[in-house]
Amino acid sequence: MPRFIALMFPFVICCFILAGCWDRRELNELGITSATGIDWSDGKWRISYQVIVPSGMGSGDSGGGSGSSSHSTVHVFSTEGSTIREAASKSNLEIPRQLYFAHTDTVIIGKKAAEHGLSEVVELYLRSVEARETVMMAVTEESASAVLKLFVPMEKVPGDALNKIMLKQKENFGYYPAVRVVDFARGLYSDSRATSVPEINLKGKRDNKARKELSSLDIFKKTFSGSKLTLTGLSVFKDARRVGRLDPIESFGVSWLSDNVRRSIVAVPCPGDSDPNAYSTFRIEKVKTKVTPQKKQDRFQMLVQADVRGELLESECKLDLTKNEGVRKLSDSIEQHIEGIMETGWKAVQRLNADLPGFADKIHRKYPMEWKRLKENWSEQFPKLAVDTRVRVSVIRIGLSHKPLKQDRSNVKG
Amino acid sequence: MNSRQTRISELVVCYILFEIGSTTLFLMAPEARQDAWIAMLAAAFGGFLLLILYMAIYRFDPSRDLYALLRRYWGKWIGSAAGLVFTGYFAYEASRNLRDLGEIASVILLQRTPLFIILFITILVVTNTVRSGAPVLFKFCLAIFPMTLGSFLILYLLLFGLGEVRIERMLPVLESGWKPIIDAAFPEILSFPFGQTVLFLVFFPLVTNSARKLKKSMFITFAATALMLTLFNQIIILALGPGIAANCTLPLLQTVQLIELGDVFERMDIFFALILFIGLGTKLAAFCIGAATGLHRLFGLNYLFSSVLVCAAVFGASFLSPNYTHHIWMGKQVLNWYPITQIALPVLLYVVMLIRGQRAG
Repeated sequence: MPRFIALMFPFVICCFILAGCWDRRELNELGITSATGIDWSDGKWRISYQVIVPSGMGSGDSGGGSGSSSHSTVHVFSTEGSTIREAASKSNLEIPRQLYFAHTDTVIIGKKAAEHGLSEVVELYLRSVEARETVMMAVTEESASAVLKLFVPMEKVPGDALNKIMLKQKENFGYYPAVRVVDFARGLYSDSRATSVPEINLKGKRDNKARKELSSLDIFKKTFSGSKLTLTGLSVFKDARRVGRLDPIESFGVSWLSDNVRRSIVAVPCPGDSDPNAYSTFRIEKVKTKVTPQKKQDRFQMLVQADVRGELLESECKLDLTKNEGVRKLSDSIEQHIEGIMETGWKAVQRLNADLPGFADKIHRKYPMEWKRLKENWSEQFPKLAVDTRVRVSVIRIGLSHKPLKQDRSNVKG
Repeated sequence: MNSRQTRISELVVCYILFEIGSTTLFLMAPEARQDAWIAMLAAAFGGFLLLILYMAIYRFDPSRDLYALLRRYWGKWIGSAAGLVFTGYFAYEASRNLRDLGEIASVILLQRTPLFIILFITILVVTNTVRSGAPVLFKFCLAIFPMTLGSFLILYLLLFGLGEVRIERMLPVLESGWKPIIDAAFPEILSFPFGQTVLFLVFFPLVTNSARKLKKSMFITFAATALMLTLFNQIIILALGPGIAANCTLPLLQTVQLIELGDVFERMDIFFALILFIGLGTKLAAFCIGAATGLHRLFGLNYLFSSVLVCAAVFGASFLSPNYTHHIWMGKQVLNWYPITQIALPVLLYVVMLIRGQRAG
């Protein structure tokens, strides 16, 4: 018996010690943040937090609305301070819970903050233990706090929904890169010094009434919404400062040049067709883009080789896809189309003088000696680069039909 | 000290955990940037030469541990003085490891708990391990080893699988030439972690198998460990990029925080903390045993008493630095003194052993 007590004694002591005294954190004391918004004006940072309301989460699946409870799933607070952390700690004056950033999925950055410079934000994320560097970044034209207050219909937690939108978009559409804070930080340390962040804005009706509707649970009771949060463009950053914007097609071109396209869809005009509305839709299933710098006399040329495989989804063209000739015409037109997109992207980054595709790093890796020379005036050298795009498209499958309906029917008539 | 049989496998496993222990805490050769692997391999070569030296000392007189060797070949007075130097060196290394452990626990797990409490609890546990003696430590290492290595494997597999490790960051190779590599490798990497294995001169005689088999095992283990350490270090640089990695206080932690698989496998910080605790704890216990054995052998003190004394001294010494920056700075300063105990004294010892002739048994 005494031996038993002697053995049990350490366990009992452990129970007392392991509960934790100073560092205990009760779950109902934490305000779990699903999204953070960063705004800046006149030297003051304004940070907004989209805090999850536990009673609003209730029952119901992720796709369902909140019919069971009448509480909103999230609530947005905003505080101001001269540094970001100071603003965050001022939340102690308003919020009964302690803000917990470990589950933050998205960080939205207002345009003014982006133009001021994000090095402070990145530094904060790298230095802090709790703040994850894997949060998704997005920039918005208006203020971040306004965006945080809007629901994404069909999803309970908007922060999580925006994160998923950006991830899924990158996988399936490829127009915009999915940029986490760590990717942004890597871009700052890279030779090209340029990074890009997708832009999220409210599309559709943007008046106060529409915003109010999108901020309340009523939106879940409707079948449609006149306005929604959408990815609308790409913010271009040089040395952590926003310097410009790319529209969707330009951004798609840059994605091609950076090997960021995984799967996507392109609508290609029909080859040699007088009808300007005749298109084919081609789904890209597998892409591999290789960018190699080549030295031509004293200039550099970037050779962009893209290997594309995909499937034909729909077609209005007068092509006979049962013959190799027809398929080759189709793939040629797709190749031209993609090369055109790449050209558009390249012209856009030339205009902004931002090395988004990371050509600087590639030259550095292949020609370190030349890079030492070029490093000093890279901003002059960069627009002078020549880009040679070579796309090779294979249409692997054409779906369940042979000839496009238009082609087939026109034959029958004649 | 319990007189149980120690097998080669146990000693070897302790060696591996010892080496990995606190090396993964820091980034080795940050100045060499993407060529850090070359610096690691260069230092490993130096470490290999050191290992040959230590093995030669062992082979010459397999039944005596470090302190007995010093007393035998250098005489009672000089031998004891040198032994005391080693004891102090082991105790100081132990205090540095203890402080490292406390700092990590403070930064990532227990921000508000006073450092005193964390260090105190740790040293209590370690004292208990030390008083049981080296064979028990080896058996503990044997038990813990699969879990530790498994944790590493899982972490690195996840990193590779998620595409976080960009192999192209290895280029351009030898961009800045050999100078930064050599600067980084000697004496820094050579001393830490490879030079610290001088501690094992205290443990080799405990192995009851043949001396020749131990030598072969040690060389193989050393090669494997050196490759592992180089790989671990290089993965950090490839994942974060040399710029960010050099600026981190805990680079492996930042790397591990990148893992995000599904919605479940996020925030693997705790894996990192587990590995570090085990590694640092093993190192701490090993150094304390080395120092306690010293006091026991040199001055005839009761082993239990000397282990408590050593651990108390280590606990006290861990408070030498008032803050983290000072602790790191001091670590860099003392690197200049390490070659004395790690290289110079063993070389002198071996030379004297050769001069005084064969005295096996």
